[in-house]
Amino acid sequence: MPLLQINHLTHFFGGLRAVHDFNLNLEKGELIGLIGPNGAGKTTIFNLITGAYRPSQGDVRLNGDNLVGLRPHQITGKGIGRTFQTIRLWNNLSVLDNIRIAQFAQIKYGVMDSILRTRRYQDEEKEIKKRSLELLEVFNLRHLADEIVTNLPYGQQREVEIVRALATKPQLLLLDEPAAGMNPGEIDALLKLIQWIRQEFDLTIWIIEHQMRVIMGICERIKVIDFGETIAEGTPDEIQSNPRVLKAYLGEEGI
Amino acid sequence: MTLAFFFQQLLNAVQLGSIYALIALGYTLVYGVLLLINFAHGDIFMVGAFVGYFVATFLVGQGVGWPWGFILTLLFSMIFTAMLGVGIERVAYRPLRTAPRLSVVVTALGVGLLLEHVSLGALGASRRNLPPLLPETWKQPVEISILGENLSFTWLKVLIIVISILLMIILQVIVRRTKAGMAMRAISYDKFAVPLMGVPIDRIISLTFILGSSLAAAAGVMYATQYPVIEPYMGLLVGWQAFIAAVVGGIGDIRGAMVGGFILGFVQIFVVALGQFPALSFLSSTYRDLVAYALLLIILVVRPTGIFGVARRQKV
Amino acid sequence: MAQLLRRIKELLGHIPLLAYLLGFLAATSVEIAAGRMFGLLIGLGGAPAFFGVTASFSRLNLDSGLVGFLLSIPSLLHYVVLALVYDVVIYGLPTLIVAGVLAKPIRWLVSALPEWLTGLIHTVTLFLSLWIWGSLVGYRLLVVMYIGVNIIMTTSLNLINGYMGEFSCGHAGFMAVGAYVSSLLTVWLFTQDDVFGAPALSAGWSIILFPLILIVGGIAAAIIGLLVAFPSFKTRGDYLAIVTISVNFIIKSAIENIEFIGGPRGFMGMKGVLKTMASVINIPWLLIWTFIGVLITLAVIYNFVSSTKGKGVVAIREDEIAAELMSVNTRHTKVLAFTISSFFAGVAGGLFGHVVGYINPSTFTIFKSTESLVMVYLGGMGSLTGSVLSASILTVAMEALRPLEVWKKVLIWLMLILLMMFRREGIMGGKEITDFISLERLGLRRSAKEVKGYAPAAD
Repeated sequence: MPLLQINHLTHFFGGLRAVHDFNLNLEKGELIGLIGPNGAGKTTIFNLITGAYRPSQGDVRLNGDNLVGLRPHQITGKGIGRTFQTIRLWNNLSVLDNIRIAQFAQIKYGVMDSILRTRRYQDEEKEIKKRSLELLEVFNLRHLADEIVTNLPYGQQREVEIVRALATKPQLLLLDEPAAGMNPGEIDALLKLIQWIRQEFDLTIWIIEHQMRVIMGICERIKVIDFGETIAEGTPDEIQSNPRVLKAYLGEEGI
Repeated sequence: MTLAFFFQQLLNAVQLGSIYALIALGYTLVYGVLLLINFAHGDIFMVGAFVGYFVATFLVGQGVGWPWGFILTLLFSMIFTAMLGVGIERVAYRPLRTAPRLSVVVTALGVGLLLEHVSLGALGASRRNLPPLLPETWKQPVEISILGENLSFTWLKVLIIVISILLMIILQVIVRRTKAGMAMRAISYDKFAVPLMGVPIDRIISLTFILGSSLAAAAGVMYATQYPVIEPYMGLLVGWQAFIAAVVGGIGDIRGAMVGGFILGFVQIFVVALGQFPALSFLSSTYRDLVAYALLLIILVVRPTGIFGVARRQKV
Repeated sequence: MAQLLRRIKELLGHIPLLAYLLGFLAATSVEIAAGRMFGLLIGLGGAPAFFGVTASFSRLNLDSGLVGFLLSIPSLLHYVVLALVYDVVIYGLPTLIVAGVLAKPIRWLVSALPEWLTGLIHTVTLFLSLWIWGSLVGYRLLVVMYIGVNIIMTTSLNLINGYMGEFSCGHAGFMAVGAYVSSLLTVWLFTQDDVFGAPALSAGWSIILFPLILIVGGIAAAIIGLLVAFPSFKTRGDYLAIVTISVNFIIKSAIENIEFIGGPRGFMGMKGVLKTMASVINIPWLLIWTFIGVLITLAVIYNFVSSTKGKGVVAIREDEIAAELMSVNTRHTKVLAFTISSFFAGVAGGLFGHVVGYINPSTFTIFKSTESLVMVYLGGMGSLTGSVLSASILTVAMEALRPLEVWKKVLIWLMLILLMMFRREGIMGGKEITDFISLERLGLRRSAKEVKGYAPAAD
């Protein structure tokens, strides 16, 4: 069974049709990309999948389980993690806290446990802290654990966002423009990172991007949308030479 | 329930509703333009009534009678209160225009309470009565006969309703037909683009406060003529109710303020009127407040943006 | 000179908290022995009730217009100087001397004892100092208990307005619910009064049931708090302010319309309850329960917000949508926060009712709610230390400014407005005192080397 199935996903904002009949079968372990001009509806699709909006029409299934109508935190709990187009970290909190909080759904102790500081609470908190620090270690960010996130440079904040998404123990990772604001050197490092975490954490990854370097670099399959409609689909090479894509994508960075 | 009784209550409801509507407009105009709930507005209403009191006392002492006594009181109160409103905006709200919402909300609350307590301190808690600006006959019930029923009304009530509607029409003209009014509506859509288009945003905002405050002052003077008691806590009693009216109607929308005002007036008058029936005799005038707030809560739960309000979408 | 000051600051900074507390106890003994005499000697007319703070403003003349007011200012200043002298001689010197002498022995003691015992000793000493010092002048205990009630109100409101970043403006409503429920129960059960008649239970029960009744009051308030929590899902910011203000009004209005419990005239009889409790065992029950109430409130809220689950509250403040998408159950968390917050407001209300002995609906209006708001913002959103500090300072200030009557409130709202303009973060700005002074330095925790046989734990 495909990991993620999207059927006839359609969404209206008032009278405006933002997404029209989007379909996708995503197999476990794939690394695919979603591209399209600004305002095409890419982030909206991510928002629909993760439950930030409830789709006007259509079906979204993760491992066969229906996601439509569930609250976002439940969907995340089922195994979908994401990052955002503009960084949405919890600004006045430390890096460590940002990672800890993302494990909310995995907490088994109750409020009374936290108030009374029971054994169960203490053990779990120790685990959470350990897990968070280990994740940060993997990304070479452990030394920044107690830093307030707004004090970090942009690039590191982006990394923290990815670590935070990983802390939710996802099967599917949605990355929304992870390379925004990066120079070619940083992008290459990012690509290696993405490949690595896919391996290390056994992930299926879906990237929204503008930068061709990223898309062509690692995506196995690409979907192209414009004005909410799917206009092309295929391997990087096929997309590159597709006339409809080129037409829609005027002014795009070349490789 | 006789037709006469019904008619009387209807008149009361429209009158009360118009006063609420006038005050509610002030809340809504400011919210539309600054996205700020001007908690001090109810107390602006109170100041309007007090200024009216002082002006009227002076004029009556000078022997000025009807109609000039009333007209001058109304005008002067409106002008002075408008200046106060603009003053508050300048001093308390303008410096906080870029501040987080919290600071502004808290400041607005503080300004309102400040006004109340300054009045208390300076003028004492004793109630005052507005000196008679109208001929006594205007307050006496007049009987007319329609369809065999004897209906009574007072000219005062009619006057209040007429003046209120007149003011609301003038406001509508200003908002819909003048450039300034158009700028006001534009600001409520996009606060940042408007100054970039060459509109003097500060002046438009001041205009908003002038309009809102003068309407509240007019309401204050008229309220004081009808229910002659003036006290520093008026803002709390009447102003807050008008605020509820504005929210119920959909804060930020002018139609909402007017409709909300009348709805609240009707609901309050008729709920209390139902207390005439033996089964519902517990419904006394002390329930007016309760009714108003219960209505508010219901609306907020069922339709938080109010009747005419538009939900502002948050981008994810 | 600066050198000297720095030296002094360093010395003082290394004296453990317990030494200061014991020093204060010593000062109190000095006051018992010589306070009244000394006060008379320097022209204060006796021992001042509350360090001279609360009496000073009564020196101002408000009845003869502006000129009279201005002329009375030197009298105020004169009093302040005398009070300062008294404070330094009776309080300051004995405290510092005794604290300095005891510093080393206390440090040794702290390093030798287990931490829980040290904590217990601190708590008991603090309570004893408050009790003994407070019993000298009746007014003192009253103010101390007011402070306690306000600390509970402020910290519980801080959970919603500070940590969660919402706009709850009707906290006094929950206080009212707790006050009425608790007071009605205690008066019914333990005293003879007009409404309920003879006490329903014997006096002995009062000791055991009093704290339980406070909890019941808290639960009643929490239920109302739950009702507020639900509209909060759909509304944010200003709208939540409106909802909470409305609930505040509705509660007040509803109580006014219930004739049975006194309506607008209010309800009393709680002093009788305290008498009943004192007749069983004569100790200051209300002070004890207020003190315990403050400790429990601080402990519960601190434990909650420092847990990962509790941090969800702050995540909601920083970015609610991101929180929801990162697996935080925001609805559940909001409901929880509102419930905890209103529960403690209800407990504070119950205590308040018994401290004052008489409650009526007009005590619990939006004015009272704004008092709590000022305290939260003054102390700093999201700082428990800040809330404790600001509640204490403001309670004392409000008592001190009482002679000014109406102008007292004017000053307070003015302060709130200025606060918003110039120092939004409040006193502590979101930090706790432990961010500045370590627990080790205070003598509340043993440092690594002090504990014998300490093995550094693997992180």
